[in-house]
Amino acid sequence: MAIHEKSLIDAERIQTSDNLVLDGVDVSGHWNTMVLPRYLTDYDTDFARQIQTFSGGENVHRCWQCGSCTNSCTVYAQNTDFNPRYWIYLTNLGLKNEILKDKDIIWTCVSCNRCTNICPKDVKPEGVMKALAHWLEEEGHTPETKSSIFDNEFLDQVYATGRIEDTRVLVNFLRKTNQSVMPPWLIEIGKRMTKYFPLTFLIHMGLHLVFKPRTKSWGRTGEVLREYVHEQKEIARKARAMPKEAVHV
Amino acid sequence: MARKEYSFYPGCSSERLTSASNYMVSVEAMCKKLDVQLNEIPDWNCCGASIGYAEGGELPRHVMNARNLAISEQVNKGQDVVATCAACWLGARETKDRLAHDSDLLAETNEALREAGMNLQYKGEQEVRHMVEVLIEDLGYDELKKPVVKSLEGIKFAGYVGCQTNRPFGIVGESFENPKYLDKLVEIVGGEPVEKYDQKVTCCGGALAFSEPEKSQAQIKKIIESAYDHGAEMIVTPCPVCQMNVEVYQGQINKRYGTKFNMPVTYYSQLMAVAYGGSAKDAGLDGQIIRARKLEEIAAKGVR
Repeated sequence: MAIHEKSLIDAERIQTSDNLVLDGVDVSGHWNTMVLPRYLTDYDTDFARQIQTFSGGENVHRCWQCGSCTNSCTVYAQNTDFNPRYWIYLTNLGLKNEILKDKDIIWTCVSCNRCTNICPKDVKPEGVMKALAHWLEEEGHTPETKSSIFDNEFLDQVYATGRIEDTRVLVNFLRKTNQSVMPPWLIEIGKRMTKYFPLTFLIHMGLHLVFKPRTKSWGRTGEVLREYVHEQKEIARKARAMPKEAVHV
Repeated sequence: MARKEYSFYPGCSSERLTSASNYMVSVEAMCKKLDVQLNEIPDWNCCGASIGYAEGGELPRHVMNARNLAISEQVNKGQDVVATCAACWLGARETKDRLAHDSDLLAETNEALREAGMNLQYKGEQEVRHMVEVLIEDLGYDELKKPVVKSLEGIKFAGYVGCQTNRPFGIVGESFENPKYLDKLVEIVGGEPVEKYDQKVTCCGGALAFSEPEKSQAQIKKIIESAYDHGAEMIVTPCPVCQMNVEVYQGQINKRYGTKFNMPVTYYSQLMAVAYGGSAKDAGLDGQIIRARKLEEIAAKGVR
């Protein structure tokens, strides 16, 4: 695919006649390919501001479309539908319906930070991906994504004890996403471990799951953070609900 | 009295019986030989590695990191904070950076600490550094060479840096595209670095390891394949997430792609612990899923 962004054009708008002669010149096939113009009227001029109320999306308006984010993107290298530059463009134009076409893959950003590192305008594209994913969830366009489920499990443990226990985060995550709590690779690790480690080690590991590691003086810290997050969520919701004339971005 | 002292932030994955406990073991052995004393921050908490964008903005993760840093300021006065885990370092480093440039955020963070009933105030007095920075900046390659009693001669290592110690902050003085410090560390312990390892800073896809495993495994495959293509026998890394991901899914990848990967993935500190005369146990080599047999053999040999 020489011009990859051809994939961004709806298939039905690309028109090619198998047989066509113009002024006596045979232009059959791809020689006469035309892209039908389209007229978009569903701009939401408030959309960029909406995204800015989600954590990570604050700088989306700064983008000048150089495309460095997409060029450097780890996920784009695997799947060219994952195109941060394009989604940032759509966000700033307010073309929500176009973004919705990719709603099922936006959350798969791996946070490698190549984009944020290279961005000349400090847009923080990695943050924008998270903001878009949270917007999709908040508006009900996608179910809670696996990445949110994982983060929330992680966060719940931190709130409760101040620390995490990696096996427990994983097992709870697998359970919540209806996956086997014993995926094949985990069984494989288990098998290899039993080869090297004495039984007492494995018993200890089991005990570790029951007696959770904790920060002793953690006290009310988790509660304070939980309340704060709850408050901030409400504030952000209210900001989104405000008429756009009333706010200055 | 040790030559150098640091305020140490070990982090959740270093705890006994968790995924990177062997990293910790090897760091202890390495630091002992280098006469570096690590004073653990008492009652530290999680850095919030995986909550980057949980809703509610960035404050929660800054409060978590500031709590650790504030305890460190009180207890380990005048020492730099050092983390071994790439994610812990990145989290604490980011908090230090953000709060230094945003006085409102700093005030809010301290208010949250007060509200939580902690008699703590974060002032931003201490630097936050990765263990690698301590090694190459404070001690320097020449000093690191002195305790070497065994050469890791004949082993070819691919230095895999990954993301978190590389972007967005990076190790001081190193390039983002082609960081060299792992290669230099390999050299000082007598090993042979793969100079042209082209997947050095590739992401291991750790964030998708449990939710889209085929995607993260495609990343890991590239990382291991390139190491083999360049003749490496082992991969060496500074990051516990990279270490785990690149090591444990090799069986799965072999099934999926018909490859025959069996590449040990070690920490820089394990190489140094062995080169400094430590046993396989001192170097945490018993915690490998894919055993680093060549290192074990060298560790078992007597010092000449």
